[in-house]
Amino acid sequence: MPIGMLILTVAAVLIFFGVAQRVLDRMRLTDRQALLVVAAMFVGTLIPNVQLGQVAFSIGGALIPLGVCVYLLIRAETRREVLRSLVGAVLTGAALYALSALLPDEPEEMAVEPNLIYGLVGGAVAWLLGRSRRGAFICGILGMLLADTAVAVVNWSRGIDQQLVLGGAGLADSVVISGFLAVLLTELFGEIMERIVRRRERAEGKEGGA
Amino acid sequence: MSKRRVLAALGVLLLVPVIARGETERVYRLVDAQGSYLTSICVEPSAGDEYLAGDDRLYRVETVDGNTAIARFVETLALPDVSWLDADAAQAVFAPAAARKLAFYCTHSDESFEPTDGTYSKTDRGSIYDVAHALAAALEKQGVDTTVSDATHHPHDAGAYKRSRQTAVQLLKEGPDAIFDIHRDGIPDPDQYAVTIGTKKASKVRLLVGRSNEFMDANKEFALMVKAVGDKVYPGLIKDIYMGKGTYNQDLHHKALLLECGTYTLDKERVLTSMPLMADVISRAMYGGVVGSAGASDVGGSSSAAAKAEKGGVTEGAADSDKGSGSGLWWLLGITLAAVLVYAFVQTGSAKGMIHKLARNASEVTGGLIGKKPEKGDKPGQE
Repeated sequence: MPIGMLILTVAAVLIFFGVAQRVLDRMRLTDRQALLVVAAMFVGTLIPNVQLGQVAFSIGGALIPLGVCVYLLIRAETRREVLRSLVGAVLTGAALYALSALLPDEPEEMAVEPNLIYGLVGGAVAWLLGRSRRGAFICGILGMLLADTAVAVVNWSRGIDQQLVLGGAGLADSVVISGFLAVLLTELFGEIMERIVRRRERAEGKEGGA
Repeated sequence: MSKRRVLAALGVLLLVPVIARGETERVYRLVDAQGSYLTSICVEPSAGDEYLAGDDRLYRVETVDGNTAIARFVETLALPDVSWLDADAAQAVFAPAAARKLAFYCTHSDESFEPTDGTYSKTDRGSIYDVAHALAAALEKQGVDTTVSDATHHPHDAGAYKRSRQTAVQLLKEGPDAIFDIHRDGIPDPDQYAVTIGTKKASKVRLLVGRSNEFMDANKEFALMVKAVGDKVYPGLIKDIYMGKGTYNQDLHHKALLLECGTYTLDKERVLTSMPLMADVISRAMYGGVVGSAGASDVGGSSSAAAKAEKGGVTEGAADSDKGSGSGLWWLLGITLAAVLVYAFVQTGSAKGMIHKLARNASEVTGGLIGKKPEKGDKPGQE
């Protein structure tokens, strides 16, 4: 690869590493653990997928993110948090599946890049369900995996012999992108809403004081 | 709107049946500022899209009104210098090629050719795969190692590029020099693509470049090189180049192109006839003709290329081209910096807080190498 292209590719990977580490840092992981998970996802992207009949799992794009989701569900403080995350994942998956059918076929006809739109939806659902970053991650990852599975099931029911590949693009897969984007979106929404509420409370306090 | 209402709306969304797809794709007309017709395209034009016509006149889309896009003439573009092709023809002394590898896949697995297949869209594997295999087979004859993925990405909906992205990444693990997404167009008029090259009834090929990624300039340079070689060797084969808003998974590689090989109303045989010609064009654009006793490979397009080739000297091919990497790097850094600044500002609400947060995050990401180390109990982001 020419050196300029190599620098460009390395820059893109490093930026992704930075963003991913920042996101995973919010998932009950230490800085070092977060970095290790990102590195494992990167390596998992490069090695062959795990084949199970008609289904293929990418280690970096599906199994490791799925593992983080399971870890988060196990470490959840309340049963309500687990339930909320799982319901959110199902709702996200359903919304993403419906979006695939409703959105235009061609990427240029969408207002937002297809790879980003799924994360935005995952983030929106998670935020509506409780403004939880960890919930957003689970919604984004599991929701996308469920939506992909639903597409495969519909294909198989129509007699289309097509392999289901989960997270096949590894770090560049919409599963990973939607999980990370959902967290960032939830954090952004949360901060904006909190500031609005604080400002309103402050204004009300002033009025009360007067 | 309350949470319950939004959740109810999501529930309703679940009940929406899968919408029946339209019979044909939407076709847009591209006209110039005077209203003169330029071309038809199935890609929805957006302001800022660029169109390089067959005669190298470059237009930029300014407004879109319904199915008509008005594009302003920008300039007549000077394509890369391919004068080295003359020297190549004069001295066709082919030497063993170094490792050369190209990869192919078909995002829209259903795409077919109505006159030949009886339908424009198949539910299993469309005949677009025959086109991809024909192109690859012709390249193999030229000493290029090829991989064609037979993976399908049904249905032909908004998620097709998401699914084909997985195929593209799998192909890229093999380290190809370039990757091509093979399509056929959805323009109803077959005359838009029908062409006679020499005595052969063939089909034109349109090149599509996505302009929403860090590799957009590199891919554009590659497309220009392909057109320059095509125009020189088989005039009329390359229809035009459209640079549209989408990404088309071209963010995955610096030599990634989408090829529209004919349209659905054209006979597939015409398209297949074009594939050996297209293979010749791609092979030369990527690796150049191997000329001279030294077996030099050239496709650099520099003005001295022909002279170097005549002497059997070595010039660089498009496979080794760095063009577009600089602008791509600036694009990537600019987007990242803007996103980080906006994000940090929204989170903290002040410039001072933003700087503090950036310094703290930089320290955490780099293990304290850069930025300000967080103080005790100053851990951000934890719920």
